[in-house]
Amino acid sequence: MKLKKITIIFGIIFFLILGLLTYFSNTIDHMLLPQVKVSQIIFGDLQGFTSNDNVFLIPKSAVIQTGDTGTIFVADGYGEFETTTVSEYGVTIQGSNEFYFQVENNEISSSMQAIYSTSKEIKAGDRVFIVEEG
Amino acid sequence: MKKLKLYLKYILLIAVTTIFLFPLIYMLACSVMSVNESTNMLDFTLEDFKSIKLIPDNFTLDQYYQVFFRRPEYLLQFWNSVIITFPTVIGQVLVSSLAAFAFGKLKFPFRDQLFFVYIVLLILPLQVTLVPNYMIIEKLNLLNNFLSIILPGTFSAFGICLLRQSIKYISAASIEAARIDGASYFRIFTKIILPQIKGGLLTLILLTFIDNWNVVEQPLIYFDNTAMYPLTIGLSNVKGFDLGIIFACGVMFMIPPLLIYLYGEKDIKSPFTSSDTL
Repeated sequence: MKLKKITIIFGIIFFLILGLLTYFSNTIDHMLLPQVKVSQIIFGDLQGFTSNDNVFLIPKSAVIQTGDTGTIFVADGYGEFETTTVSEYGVTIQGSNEFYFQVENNEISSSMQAIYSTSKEIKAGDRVFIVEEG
Repeated sequence: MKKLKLYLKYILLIAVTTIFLFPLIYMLACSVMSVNESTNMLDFTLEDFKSIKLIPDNFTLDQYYQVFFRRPEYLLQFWNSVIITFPTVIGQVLVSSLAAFAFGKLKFPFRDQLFFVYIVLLILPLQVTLVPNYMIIEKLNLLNNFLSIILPGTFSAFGICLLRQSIKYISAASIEAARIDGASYFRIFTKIILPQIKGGLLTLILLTFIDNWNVVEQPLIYFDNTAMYPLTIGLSNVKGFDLGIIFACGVMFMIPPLLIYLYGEKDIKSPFTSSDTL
């Protein structure tokens, strides 16, 4: 009799917890995901020319600079519920002004969004939640 | 000599129990390992085990964290399994107990012949009736609807056959006495039959539950919408990167049938008589 009672109580608690976790799953997931701010990658160079296909302007805060090269984290587009997956690209820095680096890379495109601020450390393959677009 | 026989019996029993429990222990152990540790044990190219470890190097609840907090799709698939299983079990117990009472204790023309048809239906494997069922379900406009699994499950012949056997053990005299006292058939069913077939009912609940909880073929055939898939299909679609999640999901998935077994443990041991009458 005692086992039956314990089983029923455990069962109710189990389903209740799973129900709550499912109901609030998206909210919980978004709270736990790194919150990132993104900026559209601009096609063209610092002079405004768009002759070279592989040259882009990226906000300075989005580039992790190591000499003449750098690394950028890119949000590939929206996934489910405003989440997206992060990709990492290496770029060659060709120049800069006050706000942007002029970079070269033949894998990135102007449809991508460069991550310039994040609440947690991110790496390629991580899911992130986009809170603001610059 | 007698003691030696006893020891041998125990050794054999422990060995058999270990074999049966090994997958469960392995799943529990892997569920508290890191994803790397558990996936390192498997060789995906050869589809074989590289090694088997039951004690984790680093105890972690990361897989449970992923399932419960970070991957809502697995929780949703768990609830899909619940939506498919619970109504089917309730429906089948209701229909089967009433039908079994009629086949076991009531007298009506062609009773035994009709029951024979049920037995034949029981013998037919699911795959044989899948295409006719699909055609009927399509005509009823129930494709991509949970009812496409619930309805055929509710009217399964297995429950009727199992409960009829339980009901046959109830003496005709007690039913006759109730009839003489003016009890209706419904009253006889609820007050005399049901309390005495508790073991059979719980056995049927457990077997039907496990049957529907592990359902794979029907959702794949009847559902185009992958969001309706139960966890059984969700787990088979898990990719290599998420492989560790299978074990935590497995533990979560195991709990409901285990609870039903624990609830009816005593009654299930004697499916053809009530535990109260023993």
